[in-house]
Amino acid sequence: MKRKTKQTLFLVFVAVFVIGVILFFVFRDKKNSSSSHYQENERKDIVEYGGKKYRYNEHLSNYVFIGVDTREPVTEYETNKEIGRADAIFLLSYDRVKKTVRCVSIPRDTMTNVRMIAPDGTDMGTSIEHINMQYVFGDGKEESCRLMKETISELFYGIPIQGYLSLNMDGIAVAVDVLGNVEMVLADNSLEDVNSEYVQGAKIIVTKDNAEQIVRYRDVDKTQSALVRTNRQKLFMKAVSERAREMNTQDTDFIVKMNENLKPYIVTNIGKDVMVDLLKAKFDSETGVVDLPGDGVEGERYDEYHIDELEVYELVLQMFYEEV
Amino acid sequence: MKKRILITVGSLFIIIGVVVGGVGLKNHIEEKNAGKFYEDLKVDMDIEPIVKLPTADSQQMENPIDFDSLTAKYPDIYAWIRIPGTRVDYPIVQREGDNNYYLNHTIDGKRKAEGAIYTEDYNSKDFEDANTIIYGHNMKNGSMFKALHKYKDKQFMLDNSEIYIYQKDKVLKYKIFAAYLYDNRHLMLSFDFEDKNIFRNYLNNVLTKRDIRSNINTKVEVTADDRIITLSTCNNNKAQRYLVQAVLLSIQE
Repeated sequence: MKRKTKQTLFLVFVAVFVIGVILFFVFRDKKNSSSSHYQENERKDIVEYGGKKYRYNEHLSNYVFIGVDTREPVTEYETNKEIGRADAIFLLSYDRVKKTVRCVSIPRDTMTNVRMIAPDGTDMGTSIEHINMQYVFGDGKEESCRLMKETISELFYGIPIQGYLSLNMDGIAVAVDVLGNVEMVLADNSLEDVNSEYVQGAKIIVTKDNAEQIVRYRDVDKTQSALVRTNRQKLFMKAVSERAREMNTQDTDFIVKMNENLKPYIVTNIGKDVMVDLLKAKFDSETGVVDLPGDGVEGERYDEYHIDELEVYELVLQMFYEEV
Repeated sequence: MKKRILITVGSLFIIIGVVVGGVGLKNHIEEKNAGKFYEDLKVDMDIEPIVKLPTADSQQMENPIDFDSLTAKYPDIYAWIRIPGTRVDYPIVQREGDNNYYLNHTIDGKRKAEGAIYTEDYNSKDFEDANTIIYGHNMKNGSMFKALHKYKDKQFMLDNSEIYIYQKDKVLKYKIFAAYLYDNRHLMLSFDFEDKNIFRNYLNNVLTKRDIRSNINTKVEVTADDRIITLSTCNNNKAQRYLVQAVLLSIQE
């Protein structure tokens, strides 16, 4: 009897003790949250738009692909003069879970914050310039690619970009040669001056001999001819990637071969394994290659492409973010 | 002996719990009623309630504030701020000789967490400064400057971009061009906004921000010749402030 009472008493005290401790912490928390005027701990990574909440899609790896208008093999660059401009710019987004890829084509005349680096390497801050100039502010190699990567990341409201690949002009013919015949259908008459058969709707075969013209030709006297060319480059990219995909399934050494042949013309930090993943990936049918939203405008001296800020913002949310 | 210790410790915890809880409860009630003083003030002073949605200019340009009777009672009031589409509809005060006073005092001088919407004496009271910084607390119950956090939504910002500041015989109309998280530095002590070059650089830095959480409306024209206001409120931490900035469009005398 006495023992039982002792036991009960002990249990009661333990209970009181536990309740006391719980009360202490409950009220302490309450005090913290209500006496301060800081609002409830919101998640830092949430973006609000149109009453909805979004979070960055962590399954994405993003890569910048750049076509540079120079002839010299990369290894022989000596001075800044030889560094070309970035003439064809694409942002590729690979979903590692869905194994799909999406692509945005960025017009070379896009006006955005370009980081200016003096010849001695001093950072001179940013200025609104043609995006293709960004490449020139680097060394024509890794530094140029890194600058492009950062500028494009900023253009897309700070999305992370994991890698880059730049290919200079002579590399195009080499790539087409390794690929064998690449077929594409023309969407306009912009190549008529080059070959009278190259009219809208014509199915043409790209070879190492005509590749450069097909990718690069534009009538500089026509305004916005660079935009027309960008469209052609998009079709070319699509044709090349389809062909590359086909080759990759036929020849397991394809990537290795391509890499060997293109080495002098390429600057990249993308590993071969990732290249294979990208080649195996399917284009996301919804969007495929999208244009950076905006309008071509005649600038004082050169054509300019002015982005539509709100549409770019929405594109970024749609491509790189997921609704929570 | 054991029993005694248990009783003492147990009771001690209960007492602590009750005391701490009591303080919490008091704060909770205060927090819940935060800003009530200002709601009552509007009723007392017969000030027409804020129109919920952005409306025609003419309606907002009519001065709803009787400054004579308001300042007779509360001499530190020198302006009134109203943001259509939000709950922001408050008097603006400035305390001579004590910039921190309204951080934790309502305009009737009572010590309350919500404080007031106020400016510091680094700014003149005529909104002629290049940048006038207006402070307000981020109250949990949605009062004071909590509504500024709605501007984290770019769509909301584009749909509710007008700010009206009423002064005696004068209505100033502003347009919001930026809303973003910033560090907690004291703006007036960090930038000499009256120096055109500094102000130009400052504006350029704001307007060229490209961050998914910084909402900048580049369609609104802002230059170093303009006058702006910066509404500043707490974020959920001590290191950052949430800022909403607007440029003066017109003054109606």
